[in-house]
Parts: sequence; C-alpha cells; structure tokens
Amino acid sequence: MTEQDIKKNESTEKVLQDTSKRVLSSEKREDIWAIIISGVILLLCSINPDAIYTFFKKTLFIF
Amino acid sequence: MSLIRSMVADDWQKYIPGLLLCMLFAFVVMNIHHVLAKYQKADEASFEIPRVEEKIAELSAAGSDPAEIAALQARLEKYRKDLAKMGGKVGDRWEWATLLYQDLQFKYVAMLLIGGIIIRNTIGVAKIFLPGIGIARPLIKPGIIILGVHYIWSDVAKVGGAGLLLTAVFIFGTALSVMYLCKKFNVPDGLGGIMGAGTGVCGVSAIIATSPVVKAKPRDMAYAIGTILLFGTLMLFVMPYLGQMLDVSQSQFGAWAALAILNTAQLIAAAEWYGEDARNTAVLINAARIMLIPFIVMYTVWFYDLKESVAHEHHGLWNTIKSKFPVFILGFFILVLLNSLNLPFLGGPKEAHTPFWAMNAVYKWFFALGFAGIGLSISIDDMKKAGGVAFLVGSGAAATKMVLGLIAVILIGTELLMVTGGH
Repeated sequence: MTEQDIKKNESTEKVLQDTSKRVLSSEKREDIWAIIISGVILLLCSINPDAIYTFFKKTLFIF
Repeated sequence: MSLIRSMVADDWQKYIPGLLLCMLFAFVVMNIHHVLAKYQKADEASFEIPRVEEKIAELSAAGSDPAEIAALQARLEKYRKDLAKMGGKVGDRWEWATLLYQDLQFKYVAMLLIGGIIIRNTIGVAKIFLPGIGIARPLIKPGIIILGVHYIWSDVAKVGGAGLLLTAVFIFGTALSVMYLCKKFNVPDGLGGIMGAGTGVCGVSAIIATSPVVKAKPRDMAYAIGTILLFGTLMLFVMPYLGQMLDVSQSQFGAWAALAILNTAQLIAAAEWYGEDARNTAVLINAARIMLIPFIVMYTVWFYDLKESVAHEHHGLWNTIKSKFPVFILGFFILVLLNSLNLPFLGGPKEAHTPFWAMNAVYKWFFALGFAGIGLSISIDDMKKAGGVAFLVGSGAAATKMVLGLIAVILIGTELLMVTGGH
C-alpha cells in the first residue's frame, strides 16, 4: 500500500466519523425539538383546551 | 444565541417544500379517513338499531336490571346520532365503508403508507421535496411524547417491566446470534456489528449509535439500514393481517410488534393500524426498548473487544450511556408522571375541557405527518441496495425473533400487557 493510499484511507475514515457524528447530533437535535414542540402544545392546551380540541378534532376535518 | 443557532440547521429553508407536501398529504388522508369512519359508523348503526331496540323491549318486558337497560339505551342513542350525522335512516346500508374501514383496515395509516409508496414509485417525488420528507418522519417523536398522557406509572411498571424483560432477552439474544453468525460467515466486523445492534434493538438509531464504535463504512450502514427498513416495511403490512388471522389480542399484538419491528416509526404505524390498545402497549414497550440503546453499544464494544478504543473516544461507560441516550423519551415519562399525579389543573385524556383532554386530540396529526414522511420516502430502488450474506443473516434473525416473540406474548397473555391509562 502506497503512502497516498494510506492518506486516502485515513481521510475516508475521517469523513466517515464526521458523518456519523453529524447524524448522531442531528438525532439529538430532533429529540430536543420533539420535547420543545410537546412543551408548546402542553402550554397552548393549558391556556385554551377547548380551542385546541376544536381545531384538531373538528376544524381540520372539512368534509 | 449560539445554542439557539445550533438547534436550527443552517439550510432550514430547503426542508419547507417537503414538509408542506407531507402536511397536505396528511390533511387529505385524515379527511378521507374521517369520512370513511363516519360512513362505517352509520352502517353499523343502521344494522344495530333494530337489534338493540328489540333487546331493550325484551329486557323491559322481563323486568330486568334497570342499569343494563340504561346502558343499552345509551348505546341506542349513540347509534342514532351516528346515523343522523350521515342523514340516513334505519335500513340504509353503506357496506363498502364497513368493508374498507373495518374488514380491510384501510385507515389513515394504511392510506398514508401505501399511498406514499405508490406516489414515490410511480409519479415520483421532485428533488426539492426530498429533504422535507426526510424530516417529517421524526415528527412522530412529539406524537409519542404527547401519548404519555395515556399512561400512569402502574402501567409503566407492569407493561414496561414485562416489556423491558422481554426486550432485554430478545435484544441481547438476537444481537449475539447475528454478530456470531456474521463472524462465522466472514462478514466484516463493521457490517456484522451494526447489523447485530440494528436487528437486536432499535433499527436505525442503534445502527447510527454503534457505527463509530465498530468503524462501519457508509456502504455497511446503507446495507444494515436497508435491511432493517425493508424487513420493517414488509412486517408493517403483513403483521396486522397475521395478527387478525391468529386472533392475537390488541395488547399482545402491541408487544409482539414491539419485539419484531425494529424501527420506531414503522412499529407505531403497525400498532396504530391494529388498534388503539395495541398502540398503547407498543409505545410503552418501545420506550423501554430504546432506553437499552446505550447498553447495546457497550455490548458491541465487548463483543468486538474494542474496549480500549471506546475508552479513548468516550472516556468511559457513563459518557457512552449519556451520549447515546434517546433524550425525547424523558418528555414521554414527564407526561406519564404528570398524568399519574392526577393533578386537577391538567385533568386527564377522558376528562373534557382539560389540557390533557385537548392534547389527546393532537397526537394523531403528528403521527399522520410522520407516516406521510415514511410512505413518501420508501423507494423500491433504495430497498434493493440491501443485499448479501449480512442481509440474509439480518432478515433471518429478525424473522426468528418475530416467531419467538409471538410465542412469548401468547404465553404471557393479555392481562400483563394491557395499558389501563388510569383516570
């Protein structure tokens, strides 16, 4: 294996690890967003439960 | 400020078209589902009203228990309302609606998944929509968190405890078998490791979590993810019908699906398709299952004897567990805790005009968006990428786990797997 091949392999390895880390961190980001969205829904439901219920159970069904 | 910036992708604009497409698709399908459900209820009402009336007359003449007669009268009232909604009268029939909605289980889950696959693989989806379709899928997560209002701690202890034991046995059993077979058939450690973790625990998340540990190549990841998703897709369509054929109860089906289907989104779709009780059990066992991801990572490290490299990368056991823990599940357990406390200002999912009652109306829309994302992202060409010995080992192990899982849930019975939901 030439030096160039070794360098190429190392850089592929790095790209791989970076990709894995990016994907994993985006998964964590998804998780935090899921908690934020649910928190907002809980807040809105606490402020006006009837309006939220009517919107999601009745208004969105147009037929 | 940097924290807020890190929470938003730099190129967030590119996700909007696909997300809007999923919203539109989910909206149309939910409305079709709603109309079908109304016709099916009217058909059932039209059929049942004369029978219930006859039964009430019989019981009244025999001087039976007034409570039993009152319950029948309430049922009659509900049937009359269902029939009146469609402007029908007794004798009118909408058998096509019963056939589609009840017999063929053609509900919003099936419509979004099958419709999405048909659209993606016939008309096709323009490139501009693809990134947004990809992020619609994780929108199932807020739906799962909100579903926490359906549970109380005794459910978590009972069903979650049984589920945790079941999943622990199945996860580590499957992972060990797949890793051993992959080693025996000379499958590279990278592919064998992630395939073992993927088929054992929670599909894609486990593959992503273990890939840096076993230094898996992108192609290995594509193979393993392809295998998990392909198997999950097949099971998603087959299991609900198989469950009906085998007369498996809703709670048993939920537990069985949680053992057999490895991807959270596909699992929720299959269980929701089967029924509400099936979904309640599946969500709880899935929560127990995905909490085991950090441990499967440690297990992979042990199996491939990579202790030193991981100690170097993650600085020990605690950091590995912390970095792989699925954070969103904490939100689910917070809502379970709040529901268990029975706080008057939060109410419950069945207590009208309370916050938890309103939240109960929201989660299905998140599921619908997520299912739209799944359906539209299933490309038959991509699925063909999964192949080779690893695919056979992975699918074989997943299929074996499915059969053994069915035997286990039948032996356990419905009672231990049933979610009560409390107040």
